[in-house]
Amino acid sequence: MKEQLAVDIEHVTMRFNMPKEKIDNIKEYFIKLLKRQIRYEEFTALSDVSLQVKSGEVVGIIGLNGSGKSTLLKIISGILKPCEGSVRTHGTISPLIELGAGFDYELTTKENIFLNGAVLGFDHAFLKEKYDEILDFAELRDFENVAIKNFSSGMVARLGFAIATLVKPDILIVDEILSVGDFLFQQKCEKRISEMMGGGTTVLIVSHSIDQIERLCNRVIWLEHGKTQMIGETRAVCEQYKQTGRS
Amino acid sequence: MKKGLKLISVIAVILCVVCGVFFGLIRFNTDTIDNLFKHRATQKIDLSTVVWTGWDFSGEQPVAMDADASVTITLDEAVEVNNLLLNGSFQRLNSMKVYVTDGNGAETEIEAKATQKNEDYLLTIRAEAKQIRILPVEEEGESFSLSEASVNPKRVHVNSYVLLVSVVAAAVLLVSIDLIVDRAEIVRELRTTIRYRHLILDLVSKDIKTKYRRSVLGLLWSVLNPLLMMLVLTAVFSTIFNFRTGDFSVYYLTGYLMFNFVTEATTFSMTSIIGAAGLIKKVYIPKFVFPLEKCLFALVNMLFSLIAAVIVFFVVGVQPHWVILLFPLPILYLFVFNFGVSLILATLNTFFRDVGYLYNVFITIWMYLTPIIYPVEILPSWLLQIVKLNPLYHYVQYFRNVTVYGVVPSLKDNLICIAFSLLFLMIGIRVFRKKQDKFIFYI
Repeated sequence: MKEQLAVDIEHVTMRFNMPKEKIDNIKEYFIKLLKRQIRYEEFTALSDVSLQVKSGEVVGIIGLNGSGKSTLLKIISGILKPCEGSVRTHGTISPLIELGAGFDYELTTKENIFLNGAVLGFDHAFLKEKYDEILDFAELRDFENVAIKNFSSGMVARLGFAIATLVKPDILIVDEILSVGDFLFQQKCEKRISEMMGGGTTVLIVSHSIDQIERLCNRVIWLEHGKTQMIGETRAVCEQYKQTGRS
Repeated sequence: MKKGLKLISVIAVILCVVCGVFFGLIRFNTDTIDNLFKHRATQKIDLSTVVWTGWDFSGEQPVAMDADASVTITLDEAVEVNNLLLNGSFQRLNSMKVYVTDGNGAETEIEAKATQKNEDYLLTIRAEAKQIRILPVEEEGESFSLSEASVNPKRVHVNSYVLLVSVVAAAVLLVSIDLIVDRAEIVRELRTTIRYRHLILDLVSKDIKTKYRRSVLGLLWSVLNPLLMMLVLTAVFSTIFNFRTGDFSVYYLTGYLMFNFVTEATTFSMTSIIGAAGLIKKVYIPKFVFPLEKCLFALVNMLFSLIAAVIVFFVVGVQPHWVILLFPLPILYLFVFNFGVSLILATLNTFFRDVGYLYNVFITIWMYLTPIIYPVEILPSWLLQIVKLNPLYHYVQYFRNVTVYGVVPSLKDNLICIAFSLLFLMIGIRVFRKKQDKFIFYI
């Protein structure tokens, strides 16, 4: 039997229309339409990227700033729809793209745990059960009833991470988040991610830290200006990547 | 193949709408419709149902009439009568008065036009009637005989039913096409939505919490607000326009509750997508969760405000009728309608923020086109026709009939409400689904 693909990306192309001027009212729109002045500058963020990830694999995505890494993750997690091509995923996705998405800064820690949990699709009873675990992991026991607008960014990130990794998802998408918090918390995060990998979760990681990628990943895809530069074994790709950096 | 299907569907929908408008709204020459629906065109009235008072009628001999002699024709159901053909001999038709009795038993005098065709006189009446009474004005030597009477009520039947049927047909077509073309997608979306039901409930409770945060009375404002509004308007209208206080307060409150439900749901939803930018950009959530959540929020508010209605009903002393138990029905219809409109507005507003400002003006117009502060009866008939095109008119009247007047809603009332709800829901879903992937670039 063929091994099950967790993520199947086929010839994905993503283009953004960048209007030269910002038009957001009807009057301007019609005037410009009549004058035929609506011009877009097309920006191709990803062009013809294909990637098959088998279930249980850990794949790193590397590339310079603006090479389309985050766009690719957003397409995989369903936030963006590709212009061409298709993405198929099997199983639940837990996107750690930006921690604390959906936090309401006026509400307290407790209320936010339930709200953000719901954003990620957990039900109430389950969250109640795991409530203490979240608080302990995020080390926010003393701040249970404080509105999170008073929190430091590290505290918010900790809370976000604790909620997002509550359940072992089938696919975990990690974007640059391991750089928040102090080194102790980073270690804690990495440990948790490693645990998940051990449990058969497919992981996609974006990171600028080659170190981290080399340590965690089986395979790496290297993007350059939206094009696939190289896919392959971690070591080989990372070597190449580092080479270009030097030259 | 998909393209072909879509093209056919669009053509079919356009045809439906055009036919509906054509048959429904444009006035036809009566003859044309007579020909079209010949077999149903006239409804013969059995002369035994014709009640004669004051003088003897045999059908042969013209008899001199007394001053208060009248002829009453009972119609089977309350329909709009377009022309009443009186087959017989009349003299001086313009010396007659015609009264119609409506469903509630109130009698009003109406203008009737009489035309002569050979021996027959054709009396044209435009009115909703249960009974028609023809009374000659007192003049000596007046005489008439009547051998046969028939009414021609079908034109309005054609009107509203064709309009209704075409609207429903268009809506149903839209549904089925959407379902056929994207059935896989829709099933997936529904499945994810079920997964996000907790989110919807959480967002609603968050909205309620944040709305009344730092206010002492909190949720009580949902009850107090309509009550205070009602007091102010009742005070104004009962002093200036001499409306009866009790009647007006109930009348106004029921209208206000329904209208407020619409404005709250739609205005909140309109900005819901923009307001949820933070979420939409960062996690995947089915986007119609946001307008849906705002509509539910408005629904909760509305249900709380119903307490105000209950209080006023008690104070004024409205006699409860069992029909009042049907009150969730118009609210449900209106909720579906709201959701449809909200989807459209949320989509438009995401691309053009002007829609928000325009909509504020529109709401004012809409309010005056809905019988909230004025009684329907003061509208001249041409204006009433326009007001009836306003979907809200039907919802508000339905709600009032059920709660205040204890009138059992007819099948037609229900059909009209359902048709409007479905129509807007379908348009909303289509518009929203078409554009939802582009939202992220505009927020």
